[in-house]
Amino acid sequence: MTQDADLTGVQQNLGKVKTDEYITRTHIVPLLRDEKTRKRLIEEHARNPIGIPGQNGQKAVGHSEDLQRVIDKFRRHPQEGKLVRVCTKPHREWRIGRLTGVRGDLPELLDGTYESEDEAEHAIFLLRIDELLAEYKD
Amino acid sequence: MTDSQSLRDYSLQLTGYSDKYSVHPGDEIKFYVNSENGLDYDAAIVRLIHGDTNPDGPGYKEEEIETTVTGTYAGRQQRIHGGSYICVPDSWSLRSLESFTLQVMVWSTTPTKRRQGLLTKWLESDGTGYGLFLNADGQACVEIGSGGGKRTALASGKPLEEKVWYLIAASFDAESGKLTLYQEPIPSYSNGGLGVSKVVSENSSATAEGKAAPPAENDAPITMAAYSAESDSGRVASGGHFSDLPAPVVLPLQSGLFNGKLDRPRVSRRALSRAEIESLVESYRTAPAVVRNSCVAAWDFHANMSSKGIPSQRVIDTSERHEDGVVINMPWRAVTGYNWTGDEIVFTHAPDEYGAIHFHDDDVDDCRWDVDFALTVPDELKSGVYAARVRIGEGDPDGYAVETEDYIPFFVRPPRGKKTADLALIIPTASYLAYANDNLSSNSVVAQLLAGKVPVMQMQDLYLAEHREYGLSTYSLHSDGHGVCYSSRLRPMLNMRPKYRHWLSPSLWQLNGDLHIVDWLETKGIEYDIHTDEDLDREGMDLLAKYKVVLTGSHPEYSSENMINAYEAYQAQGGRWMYLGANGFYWIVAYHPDNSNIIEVRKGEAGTRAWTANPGEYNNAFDGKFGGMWRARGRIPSKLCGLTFTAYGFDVSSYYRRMPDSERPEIAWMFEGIGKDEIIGDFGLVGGGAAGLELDRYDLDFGTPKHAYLVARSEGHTDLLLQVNEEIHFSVRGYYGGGDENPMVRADMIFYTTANGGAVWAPGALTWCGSLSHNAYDNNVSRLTENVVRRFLSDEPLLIK
Repeated sequence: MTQDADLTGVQQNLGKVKTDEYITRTHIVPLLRDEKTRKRLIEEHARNPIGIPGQNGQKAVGHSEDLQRVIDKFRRHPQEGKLVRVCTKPHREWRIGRLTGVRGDLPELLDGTYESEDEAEHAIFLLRIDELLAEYKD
Repeated sequence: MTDSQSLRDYSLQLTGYSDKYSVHPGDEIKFYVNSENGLDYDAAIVRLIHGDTNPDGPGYKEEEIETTVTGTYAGRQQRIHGGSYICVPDSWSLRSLESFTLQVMVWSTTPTKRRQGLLTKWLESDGTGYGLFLNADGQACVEIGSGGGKRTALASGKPLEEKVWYLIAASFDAESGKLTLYQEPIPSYSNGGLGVSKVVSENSSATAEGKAAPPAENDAPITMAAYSAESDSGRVASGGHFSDLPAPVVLPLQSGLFNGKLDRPRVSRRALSRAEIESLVESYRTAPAVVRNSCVAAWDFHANMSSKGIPSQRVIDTSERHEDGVVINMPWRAVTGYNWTGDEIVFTHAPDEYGAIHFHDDDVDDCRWDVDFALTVPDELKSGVYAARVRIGEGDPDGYAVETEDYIPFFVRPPRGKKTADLALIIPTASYLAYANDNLSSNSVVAQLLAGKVPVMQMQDLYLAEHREYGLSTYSLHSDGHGVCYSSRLRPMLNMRPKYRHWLSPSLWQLNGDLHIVDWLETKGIEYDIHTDEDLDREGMDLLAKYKVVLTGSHPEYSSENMINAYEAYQAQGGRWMYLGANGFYWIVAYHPDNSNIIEVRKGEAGTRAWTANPGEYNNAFDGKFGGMWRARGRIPSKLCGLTFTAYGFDVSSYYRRMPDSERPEIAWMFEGIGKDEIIGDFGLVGGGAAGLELDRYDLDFGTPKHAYLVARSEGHTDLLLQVNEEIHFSVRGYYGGGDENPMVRADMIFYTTANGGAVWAPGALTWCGSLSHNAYDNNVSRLTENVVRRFLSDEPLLIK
């Protein structure tokens, strides 16, 4: 196999990688860089991390379009480095894990425990915002 | 928690399976248990009533049954030897070769994953024998082990391209010591992943020469798609789906698992020339006499193919020696071979173009463990859902001791030929197998998008993530990226357990979800008999005809032909059928004709699915028929039950509204006790509503009876719920969107009568049964379901005049 520097654009899958970066930079990063918007999305997610079932004749409540855009970006993250929730005590305790993307590996546990699934979901959301902003720092 | 705590500190201590799923009183059922660290365990038989541990619901319920099983057992670790391969028992002619030629057609999917056995008479424990391999660099390689530590390896120097067919061969002349290796790509228009013009010979094609001493003898079997680490693993293949073996086959401990296809392997007893090797490729019969005379074995994997498929596990040696072998761990047969032209895409029409087998390093057909204990089902044991509970220590008083207990579920039917109730619940075991041991929470990039949340991994999921030998589900991809079409229950199905909470659902799924129905029937005092899909497949209408009312589970997605034929006959003959779920009768399942513990599902170009079969590989090996969706064989579900799968999404559920048909005087009994404007089912243990996860709708274009009534429909779904892809012709924005745009995203609750006093009632949602227990079973979902059950059980007219 050739050296990394010799790999062609096709071999590095730049078509997908660069377009994905473009989409992220154009449509998602601005929502998180803007302080007011970021705060709004965090509050919305804290109130309703996954959804509210339809009740009393009222529709089920999902996420606003902006929050969807951000959340779907997080959810399509490749398996390497992707965050999962781990139930360590059924109905009592959850933790966050990070996948390596390699079959046969266990997720690596992050510090911290959570008392509900929603708490862990929201903690992951916050972590992902930090990670994305760090990745697109410039 | 300390910083250094890892998931090593959490691990399942016990896993187990049984030899049968479904038993009558008097039958014997065997249980096999792995105690990870060899600790002793207690076992008892329990009746499962409610598997949902959610404190918001009625809580977990099981009932311990006093049987001969109750007691303490010595624990031992039992491992699964996963990964598919071929084993040909050791024979004098194969063992004693000095000069030889090995040849096989090879299509590799993971050439550099590891050193992989192709066609070997090799014993790794003492480095003796001979064989063709891919070395760790993905190059074809011939090795000779001459004993006393002397080994010669000759490699081609050029790695294989993925998904390109190669002729790989090696010849050895004992007198001169000359060893020759050939690696030649043979792309054709249709047979591989690269176009003919794209396979550059100079990058891929090689001949290598060297010198070696003759191979030393060993007692290893001929092993293909692997090599033998040890000749005898202590396990044996016989019985069940190995029905056409003349004798049990001793299995090696396999290593060096190969991912990809092999076709036309041959062994000869002298060094053939290049031209002679090529003359033997297509068939033994058409090779020149001088080549046939020195051929020791020539396996054609398609030789025992018929118009009824190739369910056999036997591989045929077409030479006069008949050194037949066996496939282990159920690799894919009926797959395109090196010479596939694409003129025929059905293997039964052109068997010689389907002479390949696709092996995977994470296939499993049967754990082949030793028995730990057995139960003869007591004569008086009530029909129901049971399990062998195995446990180390006291268990957790709150019932949460995931790491130190396992449940091995089984289903007790009424005494043979009898019924003990007027109502039967058909447990959708084919669907349980289809989802068994899925790995999507760690391996699927769309898992979080499907589930609408970050998946929660239970201890069982962690164990499965690590223990790849436990196999996969039909929603999985093998490690080489190709789909999984087989599922066997002769292995611990760790996500089909009571108490288990499934990552896809907001809470429960399949077996544990169906216990919501069992619990409700128990609480309401409605007598029920339990049968399974396998029973229905075997007994058909004979089984159903006994019952006035038949219930399905929450998600009877996978059906065999016999099963849906039986449901048609049941309706025609006056049966009263309650289809209590969604997405039913959707995928074609073929049971192995000799072992109903194993199913096959080939997922083709359409359907809500996780993978697509390769071109030409859409037909089932087990029966030769087209696999995939029932609608592709002219049997869209709405023809059977009035409803067809319309939408899915796994975030949160919604509610139903009554429709005008529900007020028709002839069915006034149905909504008795439920107000006209009452919202139905805005509560529940699965997503918080009775309409969620997967939804079905009626469709007059697709066979819903014209006289069916629409008594309720759901609304208010989120836009995470989307319409099924098989109905989308052009993907356009604005038409096929989610629950906030597309009126096809809904559950329809229908009722229709059939001949001879029969009828069907179906709410059209997967989560319906999760709402039955709300408010101590006093709610309108329970009320409505009970009104229908009681009316169906009675002799009162279903349509009041």
